[in-house]
Amino acid sequence: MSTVDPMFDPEAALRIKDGPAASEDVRAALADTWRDPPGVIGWFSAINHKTIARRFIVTTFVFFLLAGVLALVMRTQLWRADNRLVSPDLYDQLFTMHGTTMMFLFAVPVMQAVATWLIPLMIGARSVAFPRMNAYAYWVFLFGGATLYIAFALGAGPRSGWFSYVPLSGPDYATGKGTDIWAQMITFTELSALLEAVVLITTILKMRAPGMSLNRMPLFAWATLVTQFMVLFAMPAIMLASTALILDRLVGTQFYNPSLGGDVLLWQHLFWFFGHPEVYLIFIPALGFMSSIIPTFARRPIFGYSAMVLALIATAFLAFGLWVHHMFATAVPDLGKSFFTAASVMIAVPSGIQIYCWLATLLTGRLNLKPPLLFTLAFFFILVLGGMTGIMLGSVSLDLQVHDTYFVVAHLHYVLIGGAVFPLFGAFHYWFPKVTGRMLDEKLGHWQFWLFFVGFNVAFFPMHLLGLHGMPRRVWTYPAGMHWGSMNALATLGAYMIGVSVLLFIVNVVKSGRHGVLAPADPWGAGTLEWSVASPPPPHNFDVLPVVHARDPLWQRAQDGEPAPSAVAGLSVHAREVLTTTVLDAAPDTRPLFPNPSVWPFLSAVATTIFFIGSIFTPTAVWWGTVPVAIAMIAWFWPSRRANRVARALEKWPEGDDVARPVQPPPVTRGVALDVRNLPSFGFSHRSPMWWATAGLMLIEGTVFAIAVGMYFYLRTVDPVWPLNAPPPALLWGTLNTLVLVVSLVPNELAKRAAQRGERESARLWVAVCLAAAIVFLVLRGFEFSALHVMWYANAYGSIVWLLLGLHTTHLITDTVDTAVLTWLLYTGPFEKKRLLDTSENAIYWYFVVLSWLPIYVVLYLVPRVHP
Amino acid sequence: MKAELGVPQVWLGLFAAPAAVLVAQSTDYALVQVFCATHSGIWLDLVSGGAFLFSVAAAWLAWRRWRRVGRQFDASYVPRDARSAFLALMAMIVATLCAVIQLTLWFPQWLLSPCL
Repeated sequence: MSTVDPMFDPEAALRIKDGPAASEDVRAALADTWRDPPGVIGWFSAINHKTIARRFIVTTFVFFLLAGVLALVMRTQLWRADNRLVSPDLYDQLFTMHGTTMMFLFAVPVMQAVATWLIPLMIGARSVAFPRMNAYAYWVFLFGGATLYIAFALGAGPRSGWFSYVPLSGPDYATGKGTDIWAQMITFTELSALLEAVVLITTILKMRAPGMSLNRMPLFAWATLVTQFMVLFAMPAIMLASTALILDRLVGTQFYNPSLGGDVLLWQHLFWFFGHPEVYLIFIPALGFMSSIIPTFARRPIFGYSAMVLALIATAFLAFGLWVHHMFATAVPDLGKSFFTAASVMIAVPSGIQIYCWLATLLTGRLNLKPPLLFTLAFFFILVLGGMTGIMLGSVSLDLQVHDTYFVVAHLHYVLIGGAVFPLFGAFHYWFPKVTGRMLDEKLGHWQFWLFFVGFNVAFFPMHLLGLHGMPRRVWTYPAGMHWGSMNALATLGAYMIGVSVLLFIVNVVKSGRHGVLAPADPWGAGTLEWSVASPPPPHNFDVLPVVHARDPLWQRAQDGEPAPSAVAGLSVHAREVLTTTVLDAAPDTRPLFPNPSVWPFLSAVATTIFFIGSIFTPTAVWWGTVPVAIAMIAWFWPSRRANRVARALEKWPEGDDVARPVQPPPVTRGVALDVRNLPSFGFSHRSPMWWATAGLMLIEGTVFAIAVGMYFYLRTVDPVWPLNAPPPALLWGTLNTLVLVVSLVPNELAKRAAQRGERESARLWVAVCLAAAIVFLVLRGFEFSALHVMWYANAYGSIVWLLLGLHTTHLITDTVDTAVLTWLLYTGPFEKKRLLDTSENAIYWYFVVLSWLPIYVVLYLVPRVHP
Repeated sequence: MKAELGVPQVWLGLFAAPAAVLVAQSTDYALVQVFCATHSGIWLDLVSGGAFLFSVAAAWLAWRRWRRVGRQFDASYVPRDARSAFLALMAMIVATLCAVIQLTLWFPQWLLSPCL
């Protein structure tokens, strides 16, 4: 608690609580408590969600500018026939870097970054869940993106396109380190995105203000929730695909080598299983922006709230059933393609539902034509055009004609820029006053909009025609005889107009950020909670947490004039105490203590970067690189005596599994407050935010294991002679390991039950027994690896066997270290009763590690013997 | 909250029906080459038909629940008690949409051979 007075006395200070009648001193104390520490170390220790999100947004925007500059260089190269401005090799790097940056370093992360800024304010919370993890995710993202650009500047940029198809990106054709860096950059950014997804899901499900039940949640929060669940299921596919790629390149596995049982289409399946949902990871948050901006500027509640939520959920599900429509030009059977044509057409239904709901809102509202609304109105024109060409491309016959032509380039830019970048600029204009406390210049905003809108259509509409005339994508230049010069010149002119528009936006941000008109709390007359606090919001977001009674809390107050509570009271002002609520009803549940700022998330990200980058240059980094990561993360989680003292002072054991019973305090000056002092400081199972993080982690890892098992069966299907004349692993070690793991479930369950009864001695004893079982397992696993009769480099069967065993071993090692640290803390302290919650969560994860082994055991040991 | 979480009609419509459609699509896709070898599409039809009937059943169950709880609370009304009706309505619409989508995915099987 570095921002607090050194003379701070926890026991006395923690008795001071917040509430509607709190004095200015209390508000100042809250700000002090939640403010990031000063100084250089303080800068690296920041964990306030607004600080991290601001850095995240600025970083992603810098990547957007860099990718935009690369696009301008490409357009300048193509503006006339037979141009020689850049070399073919550099051009390959340019389009690869442009696509990679826009998709991995801008479009997805910027949506998560905006959400981490907005969501706590929008749902009435003081922080995101897991603020240190949020900071770690940012640093990992920054280092991953910087690595890619440093490599590019040093001449080691990737050259295989943003989707890095094998064999072009394999060891035979993509020489040098460019593709290795690309593959590791994927690991960086996907790790960051997955962590952010866990942060946002837990925040939305567990930290909404009392009364904000699911049917009152703002549509942006719904869009964010749906998107983050998609991230959990989509990202593991690309992480596994890029891991397999880098293993093929660096240690000689054969996943994508057809001559040794691998398959190049495996890459495309894995990539597009992620790649198509990724479009919706970009698009759905933008729909959330639209649903925030349109009601405000139409000055009425959104039309068809339920239908909008339905459409979001349906879009998310359908997005996972479209991936093969990117592979229509491959040897997939026609009937197989037809399933994906049907799904591609059907996804227009939920998209259409949303568009009609917005149109109904606009048509029945009183429009206020400010720049945020202009950008959202442009969405209708551009996205609908992109959607129409998307339906066209969903047809196999048309897709085969225009595959890999500029028609596809036009389509994807209409969808991504129309569907995401226009609403994103609308969102920047809309929330800029809230973030900075100043209004953006409206005149410059209008100029920016019209330049962008006209420039965009001048740049990308001709590309439809170029594609229909047969101009292929990714060509460095073209001969004058093709008569593509005038269309390309027009497209280049449009690209420069977009560049000027973005430049105007930057000028507007800098100028208005310093000298703009001061913004009131709610300059647009909006209805969601973020507009109820000052612009910019204080470090603690809300002086008092609100109680919600309607979907648009600022427009619709409590019904029937009942004296319903309007605010929460009873959280400590000298500690980072927050309120969690139940998942569906948002009833007050617990009041956990959040961690203080720390430099360890930053140092852990540095260690992670050394590990990831080191493993590109030497496989030995896979073991030595993990040591600093483990040290940094243990230091991160290790409780200090001082923090422990605060936690114990605020501690209250959950009584059974009853729901919270908040007490009504005496009426205060402004309405009635909801007193939460009697809530427990933590709760087991789904009452705990940590349970949701563990569940998220298990969903991610379960998806990884499921995809890895899917890879096994895919390779088995494409290889008529499976397992490629190699013997399956000997039964002895695998079966022994299975027995050890299954037996370990007994002490694991006993540890969990003892923890939930609050019996420390018993819990730590059984956790220690579990730890011993894990160590026995790891020793046996060593024998298992040494007794394998097939090596990872021999053929695709050897590669997948080693991958499955390696993945599971990695999880087991991680959990063993985690269990060892927990055992140590349970025996030596510092001890707070929340440690028993950690024990319970660790037991749940142990169940997962054991149960995830069983299908792997069946696949590796039993299936080859039943169906050789 | 526990009562709501324990309502299978809602979760069948909201999550099981879309999951069934995705599983059916992936299963059909994986089976195309297998059944080309046997020149029989019956299993493909069974998978698609099963997913279609499942979606219809999920929609019907959600509709029944919506009829029951929706009488007490308008689904688009805001107070907390309306959440049951809201979720039931959502489940019904999602499951109905899934049934339509599954039917659309089934059509090509009536026209195309797995060996094309």
